[in-house]
Amino acid sequence: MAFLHRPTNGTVLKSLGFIFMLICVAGASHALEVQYPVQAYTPEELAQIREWEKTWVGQKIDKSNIDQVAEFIPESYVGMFKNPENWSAPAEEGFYFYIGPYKRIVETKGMIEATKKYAPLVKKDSDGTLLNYSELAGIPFPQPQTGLEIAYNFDFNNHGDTAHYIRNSPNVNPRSGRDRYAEQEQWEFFFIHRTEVDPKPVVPNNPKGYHRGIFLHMYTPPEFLNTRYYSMRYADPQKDDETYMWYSQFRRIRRMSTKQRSDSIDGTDLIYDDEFFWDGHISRNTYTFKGTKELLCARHQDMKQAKRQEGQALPNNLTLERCKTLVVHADNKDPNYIYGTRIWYIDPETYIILWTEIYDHLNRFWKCNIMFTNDLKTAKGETKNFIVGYTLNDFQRIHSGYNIQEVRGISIAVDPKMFTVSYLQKTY
Amino acid sequence: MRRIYVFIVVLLVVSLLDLFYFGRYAQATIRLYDGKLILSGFVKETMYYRTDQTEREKKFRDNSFDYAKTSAYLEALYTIKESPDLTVRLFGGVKWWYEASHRLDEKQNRYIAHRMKKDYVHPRSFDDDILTEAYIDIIKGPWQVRIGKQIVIWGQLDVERVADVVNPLDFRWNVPGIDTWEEVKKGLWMLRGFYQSQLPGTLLFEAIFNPGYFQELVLPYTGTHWGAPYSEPFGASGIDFFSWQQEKWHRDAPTWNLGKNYEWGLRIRGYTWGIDWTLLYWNGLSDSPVIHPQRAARLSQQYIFAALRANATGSTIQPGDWPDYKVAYYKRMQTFGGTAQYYAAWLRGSVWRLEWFFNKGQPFNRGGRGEADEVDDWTRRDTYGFAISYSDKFAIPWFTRSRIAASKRLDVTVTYSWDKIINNSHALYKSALNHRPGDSVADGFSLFLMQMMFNGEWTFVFIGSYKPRIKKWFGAPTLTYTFPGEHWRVDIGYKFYGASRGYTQGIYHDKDALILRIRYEF
Repeated sequence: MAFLHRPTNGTVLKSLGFIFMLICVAGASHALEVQYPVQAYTPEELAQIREWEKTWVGQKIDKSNIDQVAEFIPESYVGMFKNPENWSAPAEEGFYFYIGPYKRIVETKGMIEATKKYAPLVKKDSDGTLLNYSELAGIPFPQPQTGLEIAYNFDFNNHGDTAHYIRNSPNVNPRSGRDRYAEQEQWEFFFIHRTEVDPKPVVPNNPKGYHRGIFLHMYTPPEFLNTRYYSMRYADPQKDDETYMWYSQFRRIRRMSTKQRSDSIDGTDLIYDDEFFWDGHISRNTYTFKGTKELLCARHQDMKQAKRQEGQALPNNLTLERCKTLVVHADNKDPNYIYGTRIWYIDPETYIILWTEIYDHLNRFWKCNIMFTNDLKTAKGETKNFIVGYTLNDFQRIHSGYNIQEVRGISIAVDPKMFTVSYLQKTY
Repeated sequence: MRRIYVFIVVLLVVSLLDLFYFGRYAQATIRLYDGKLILSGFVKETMYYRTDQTEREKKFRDNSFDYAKTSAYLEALYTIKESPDLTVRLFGGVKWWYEASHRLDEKQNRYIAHRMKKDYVHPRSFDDDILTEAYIDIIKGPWQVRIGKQIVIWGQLDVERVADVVNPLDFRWNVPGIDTWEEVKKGLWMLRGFYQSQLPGTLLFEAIFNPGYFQELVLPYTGTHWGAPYSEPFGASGIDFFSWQQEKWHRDAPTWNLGKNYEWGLRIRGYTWGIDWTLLYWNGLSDSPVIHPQRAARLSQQYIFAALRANATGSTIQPGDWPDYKVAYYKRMQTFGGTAQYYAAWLRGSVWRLEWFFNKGQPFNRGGRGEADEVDDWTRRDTYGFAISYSDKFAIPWFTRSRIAASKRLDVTVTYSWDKIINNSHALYKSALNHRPGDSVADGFSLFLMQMMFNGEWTFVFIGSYKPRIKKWFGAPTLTYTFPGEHWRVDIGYKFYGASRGYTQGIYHDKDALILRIRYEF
């Protein structure tokens, strides 16, 4: 057996060189392999989390002990818990939530496969802008290094390619303790970045270059009953959205202006850019990655558990779990933009914005919003972490908004023809 | 007067009690049978308090509340079948009203013509007054067919009806822009079909056929809020001259007649070079009549003799039986038109809308210098015109960022409209079209402003118009409060009018009034 032979010095050197070369090749091939899905925590970090959870999971957090977990909650929300009377919380209970265990979220097979397939194909210019944006799917930057890469990852979350949900979104005035109701039915359809439903990754025959379509049918308030609109987002960041509305009360199909996206959406605390906590082209902001922050987040929230009385700014009985969020500062390039900095706290496993803090144009703290998500079954039989609601709070005006999304289907069949003018006016 | 105040106080108390005790926990739109049947509508109380009445009009009024209308509207949508291949739905709408001002005002009660009052105070005919729409809607693939009574909106501007030619309007109580189209427009029985093509521009074809069901434009009645002031001919009381004529026009209006009264139209909708456009053609009877001058004179004589007799005997005017001859003729005409909408990304993201029309053979009365009492013939003229509107949103320094506006910008729409009569002459009677006697052209500006405040709790709306050639204007600022919950709204506003005296002054110049309205919508 030759390898048992005592080697000469020259042979040793040759062998060491060969082994070094093997290690280098193996290392290089390891670097090319896309590491996805990812987990919010390393094994060591997770062990620490589990240790912390032994004390806290199942604990009810309210005004009496909020300070003990204050490091994991935005300061403004801690203030709400301490001064619940300003936010129309129940007189006896105030605000409260429970702590649950961290649960890893794994994306769908389609998203994982697309990430592995397309992430190596990403082409960027010197500014980091994606050059082949419309050709990709999955998460383009599985190990993001910059704020812009994280923002792109957020943008590529395709909500299951299609989705259908009912939104109950009262406009909340905590000062008077009253709600003004709004109910809409909404569909989403992605033309590109598709990972779940054929055709993938893009819908062929898309000459206008649409990115995504949203169709909305309003039921309340009554003056908007049966008002329907659709809004098309172009992949080209230079193009404004294309929006048409069938305003049932006036029975007219109207082209709507979409340029001024910092206009508030009829009476709510949302501006048009605020949907999903950012609803615009990625190129409109500059991004700064500020590291990570541990926060308590509603990532597995069953909205049926949420308890809330009319006028209450924040629902009770939520279950929040720890998550090491990615912190990104998003600053709009428009110097006259209504907001100063938006701070996004992004789920590293789904790239959904779980918390956002917003400053005004004078960089005074203004709003803080929390997203509720949950693992839901898709039509393909998989599990997808999906938005099921959110709460908006305006700390300058003491005003709030609440939203529950009753999801009817994810990755379902949605006819793209519904994003046409002729579809807007149906029967009524 | 005491009864008026009691009535108003009771009304407000009942409304407020209802609001605070029941409105808070009210439910959304009514859905039955697993959502297959959806009911919606409104109940509203509207009152106008006149702040400007001529001395002549005051003689026929006890007080300034000359409009107190309770109205309700209910629409039902029933889905028989809904699948990707075939959708079948039934849609129906009914309205009801009671205009109570004559109960509050003895004189008004006395001076509205009896026949008019019955039509004005409450609905009389199920088909004409109550049933607004009733149709079956069938959608299969690219085809859609609607059969039944329908209201069609072909225009895209807020108030102007440049290309909106299908349904006639009913001005007895309502005006466009303030009231809903279900209240203002009269439904027509028709067959309406659509075909969504895959041609370039994704052309949508639409065709309408009305098998001879005619409804005429209804003018407001004399002595009512929107109508001309009552006048006593020769000092005698009873039905006034205009109401007598108006009733005859109504009686002369065509009824169902497939052979003579059919109407049909076509419209194509498309999208080309960033412009949403429509082209339309309508062939139908004019909603308003031309008058046979000689017969109108005979009809007038019948009235004048009755008035003189009443004056001499001290009784009320009794003009006698309606004559068999026709006075009003609703002539066929054709309209070619179109609309365009354009989103100007390069201009603040504003939206521009254009509508145009060409009326071929529009009927006119003529005679003398075009005054109503000089009419001695009728003729046809071609007319054309357009309206262009600019819609934008503006941030007002400080205000938009304030707690009042809560980041909501001011919605602004400015519209300019212009129309021309080809081969115009002084003799054409055209004051209703806002043309000066010798002027072939009429034009005007209108303004719409909307500012939502306090996160939608309050909304300010201003609608106004100005016609520079005839110096006629209108304005209506309104403040709406949206009560918590989802059903109750209250509006307080003021409407004011102005016009230079003379030919084009019209009947609205002294209709300034405070608007009070409370609505329950579901």
